[in-house]
Amino acid sequence: MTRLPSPIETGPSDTAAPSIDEILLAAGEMEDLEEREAYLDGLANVPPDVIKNVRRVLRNADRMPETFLCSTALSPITQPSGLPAGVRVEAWDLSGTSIGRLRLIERLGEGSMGEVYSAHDEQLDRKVAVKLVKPGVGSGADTSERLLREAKTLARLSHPNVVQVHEAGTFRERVYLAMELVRGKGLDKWMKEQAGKASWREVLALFLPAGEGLFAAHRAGLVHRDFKPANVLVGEDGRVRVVDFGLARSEATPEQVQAGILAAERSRVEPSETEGRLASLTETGGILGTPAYMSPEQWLGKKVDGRSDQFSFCVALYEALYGKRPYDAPTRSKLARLAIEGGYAPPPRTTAVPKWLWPIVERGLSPDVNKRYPDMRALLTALSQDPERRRRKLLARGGVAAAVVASMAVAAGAMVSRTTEDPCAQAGASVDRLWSAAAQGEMERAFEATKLPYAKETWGRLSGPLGAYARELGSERRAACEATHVDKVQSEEVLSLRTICLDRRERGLGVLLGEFARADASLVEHGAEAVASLPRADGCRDGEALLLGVRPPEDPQVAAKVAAIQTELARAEVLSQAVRYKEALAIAEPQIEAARALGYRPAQADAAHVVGRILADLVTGDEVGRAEKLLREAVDLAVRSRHDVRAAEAWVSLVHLAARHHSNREMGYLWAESALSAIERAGNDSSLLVHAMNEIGSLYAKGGRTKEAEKTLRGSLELAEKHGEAAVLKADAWQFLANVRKDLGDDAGARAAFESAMRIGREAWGEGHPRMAFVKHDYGMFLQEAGDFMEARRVLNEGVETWSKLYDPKHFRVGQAHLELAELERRAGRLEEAEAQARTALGIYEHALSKEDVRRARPFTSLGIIHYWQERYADALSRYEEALAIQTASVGEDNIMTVMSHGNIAEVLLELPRLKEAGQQIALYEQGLDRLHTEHPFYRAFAHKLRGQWLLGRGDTEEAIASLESGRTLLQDRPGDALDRAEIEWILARALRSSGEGGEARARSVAESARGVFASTGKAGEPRVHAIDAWLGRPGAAPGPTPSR
Amino acid sequence: MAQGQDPDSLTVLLHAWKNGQGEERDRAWAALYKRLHRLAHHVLRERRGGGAMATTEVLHEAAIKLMGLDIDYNDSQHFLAAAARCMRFLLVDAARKRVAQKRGLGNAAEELPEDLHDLGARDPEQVVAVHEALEKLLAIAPKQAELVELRYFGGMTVEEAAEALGIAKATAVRRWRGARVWLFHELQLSGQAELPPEK
Repeated sequence: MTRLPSPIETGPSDTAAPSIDEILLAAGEMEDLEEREAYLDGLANVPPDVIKNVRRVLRNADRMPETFLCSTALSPITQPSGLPAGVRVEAWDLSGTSIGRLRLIERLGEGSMGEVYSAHDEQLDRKVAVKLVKPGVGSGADTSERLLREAKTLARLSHPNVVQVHEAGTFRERVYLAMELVRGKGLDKWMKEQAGKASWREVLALFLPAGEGLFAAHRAGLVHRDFKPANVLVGEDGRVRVVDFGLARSEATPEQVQAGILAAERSRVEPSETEGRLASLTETGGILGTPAYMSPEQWLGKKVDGRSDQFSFCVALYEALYGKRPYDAPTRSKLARLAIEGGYAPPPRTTAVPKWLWPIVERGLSPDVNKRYPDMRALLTALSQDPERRRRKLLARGGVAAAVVASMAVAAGAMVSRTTEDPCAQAGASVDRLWSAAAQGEMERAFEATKLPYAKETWGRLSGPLGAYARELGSERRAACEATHVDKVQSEEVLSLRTICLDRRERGLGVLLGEFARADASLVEHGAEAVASLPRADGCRDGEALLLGVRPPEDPQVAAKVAAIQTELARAEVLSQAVRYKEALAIAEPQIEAARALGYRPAQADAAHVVGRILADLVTGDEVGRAEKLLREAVDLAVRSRHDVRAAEAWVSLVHLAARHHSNREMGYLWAESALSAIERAGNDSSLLVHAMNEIGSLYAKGGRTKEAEKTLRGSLELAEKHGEAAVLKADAWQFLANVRKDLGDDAGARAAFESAMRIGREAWGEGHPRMAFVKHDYGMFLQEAGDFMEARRVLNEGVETWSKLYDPKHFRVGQAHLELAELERRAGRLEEAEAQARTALGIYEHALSKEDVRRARPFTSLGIIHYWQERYADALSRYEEALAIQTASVGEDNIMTVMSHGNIAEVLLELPRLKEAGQQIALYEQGLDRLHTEHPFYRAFAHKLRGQWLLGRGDTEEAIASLESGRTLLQDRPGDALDRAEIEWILARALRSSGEGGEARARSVAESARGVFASTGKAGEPRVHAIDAWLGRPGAAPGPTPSR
Repeated sequence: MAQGQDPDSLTVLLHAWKNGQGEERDRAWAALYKRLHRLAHHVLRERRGGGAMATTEVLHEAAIKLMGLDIDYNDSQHFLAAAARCMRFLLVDAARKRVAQKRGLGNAAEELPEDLHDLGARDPEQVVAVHEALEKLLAIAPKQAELVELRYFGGMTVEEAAEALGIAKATAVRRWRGARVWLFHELQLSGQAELPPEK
């Protein structure tokens, strides 16, 4: 390539037309569109189609992602730009600074715990709030670690009434939290504005959701420790969110408490000023929290739990309801004493707040934690039981009398109705029809009609679990019916919800069975996965969860349309399981519009999720952006409609997307955390959790976080074992785990995992299934690398057998398997067998691959290497030359494979010996490495070896030794390249001997080192061992012991 | 920096690499590369765990540490440029290693379905694609290529890169804009850049 003048510096010249590259570079610099157009119009001598092309490229480039080339390869230096390194800015206002991808915009305020900034998340292009916790908040060395740990827990928590924390980390030794930016005001401000004028119902409307937020955090193992009205935000969107979890520290030593109380006693403070004085208390003791709301156990420095928050909650609620605080004391110590002794004031007599509320609040204020409500849920339930409303509701439904009668009937009625007709006799009939003998026969015939060698076995494997699932669904239906109509322990409402839930499962089963009845090869192949992804039949039992969850559409017409959408989506899912993505998309895509037209959010969430998931699975990656958008939409819609399971699944699909497409990987780690918390919220379904952990493990593995991958996959397998998950899920995880351990260098662990993958894979798919062939492939390659040739040969041969049965024996994949066996035999020293395998592979490659396909070079290279070891140098040379010709024609000279062929050819020429030509090839090899900037030790060492051997051939012993020494050094400490190092040593030894001048001792020691390596490779190294022994003057010496590696 | 320094001191090496010619330059680069590489691995070990992406950060950390020690500010810019080049080789080598097995026998795993083949390895394609595109760009517009190397492989901001190259920020911004367009097109051709869906 010739260098052209840079277009920017010279501009387009009149004499020579600029190339399209130059035009692009120049036009790309112009931000102003008119300037750009003027430039393009002014280009002389450029063909119009080139200009047209440029315009098209520029149009595309205008839409290129903001992040292109900015965040892909590297994380930026956190040091603010433009500052010399090592200079630390300690400005008070950090606006303008970046924390990772967060750019702080404006300081919004400062509280006792730290400062809050508005910030821009440059990667996600959204505004967030960043709280930088003050250094030294709390006390003790573990504080920032604890803060960080809790903040990370919080980031995993996703609840509408808890401010969403997006991430947490440390910045300049301070903990920071990035969270959603809420526009609104604190509940304390709201209370002040209302000045006691708000009705008790309005107060409860704000406190109940705040309590829900607290409860969600408690369930995640977090204690707020500083709940007060100021820490509740009432958003402009009307949503209530609790903030600042866990920032206060309350576990102090008794001495610290004493000191705190004493100090407090010395400083008389008004309760309303307490917040401002907090700092002084911090200095003297370990207590933090806002005194007016602090629980007795906090004052006493005891361990706190969720019930401590309950106390603070009730103090705040008291204040909001009655317009004053329950404890009125001029000093902190008095305040403490009142809280500890239960000295709260009774509500004012004049209050409009109904009487039934007081005992509930009072119980929350109990000084003895055990006398409070067991948890927030119990308190909130009590607070929402407005007796007045309940009474009215019952009256509206037909009176208290009816309710009483119904409850009496539970005992007597059950017996009566059993004796007459069973109202639930037909409850499971529809499922039985789906799984009729006729239907089963049809499916079996469809499977066999695919003519796949493993079809019959697969049907046998699937029909058992399918039948069991159908029976289980039937008995679930009967149980649901009986609970209401026979045992009368369940309301009609719950029955109808359970029925809707079971209907959906039945439709899903119906769709799958329908597709099985016309199964094609790919559905048979992926049938096990499709069966494993059926939702649990017993998932519709929890009436309470159903009541809290998705509300079914009320209009029966809408309900029918929703059911139709769900059926289509189920079909799309089955097809995508069978890797028939295009058909799946064609079915699923229109459902998005259909669901939107209905305006029923849960169905919209379903549709967005299914389409997003299919797009994520498409290998092309063209639709990654759209997949992400849809999946995020699915999460949003699902959360809004309380569709917890779907929200969790959509998070998991996002993780899946991130694992498949590297551009989303960093986000993937965040999504993974959201997925785990969403699954927990949805009830910790074990299959979903196992599925999620497999995806997360794969994400870690692809992101190079191998250790975390190992840990996650191990966890997933333990869980799957515990809950008896489907074998497919486990087999997948074992295979993942095995490969991950292989990368970690844990040979024993990898081998055990591969064994498990093989065993469970047989259970999941059966011996002849293609998935098993992949497992065998991975296992065989591992065994070969681990030096266990015998076992590797056996496993790889099984793989070849499977492939040959599945495909035309001339299929490329079969050829590939033969080539792998050839390499294996060569390494094992069985050169005849290796040659035979490589020749078979060659025949298949020629047949299966097009002339331009560079992979056709491989069998030639492989044969070349085998001939080289057979010392058939002329044959090796022709094979290498054939490989080179293919490579040059299809990928050109600037490719590592082409360059390597020059090296291979040089190596053979040196043996022939055709020194002059060898020299030329060595030069081509070296230049190629330089051109490709390849600094990899192996390639460089090989260059040194060739050069050394060449110099030796020319008689330049001294230079040859230098070159060989360099090569040897490069491969030092690289166990994988030991054999190549030994080759170099063997040449070096001979060079040293011929150099004379006392090189003999060194020569012998180098030769011994090489011999050691050759001897350890068994049969493959034998000829070399013999040669070295002869050279060392040990006639007839036997080759050394031959361990497996 | 005073004369008569250790010929292997960073300052001397950096100057030789930045301003030297031919063999002297190559020798300096080899020495720099070795030191950077070793340094990076050293810091990496301290941090435990990692992978190439972490190596980048580490390299910067190492660079910043070293700059505080024995070189002045201008040299530190050279150092970062050297770090960027070093990083490029580290990344590209790691990526290539995945793509081609030794002796020209391609890695058979690359033909396995995507869900199986690259477990345990990060996607090397884009790194290699950018690297190769930069080679091409070097022939067409070397200044732009150098700038992209600093930004993409060296993780520098536009300002830092401008400083390292001794050009005005505005110039750097302009070149960066042009180079991004060109590279985006180039990478699109090789399937390593994707357009967001049309609004």
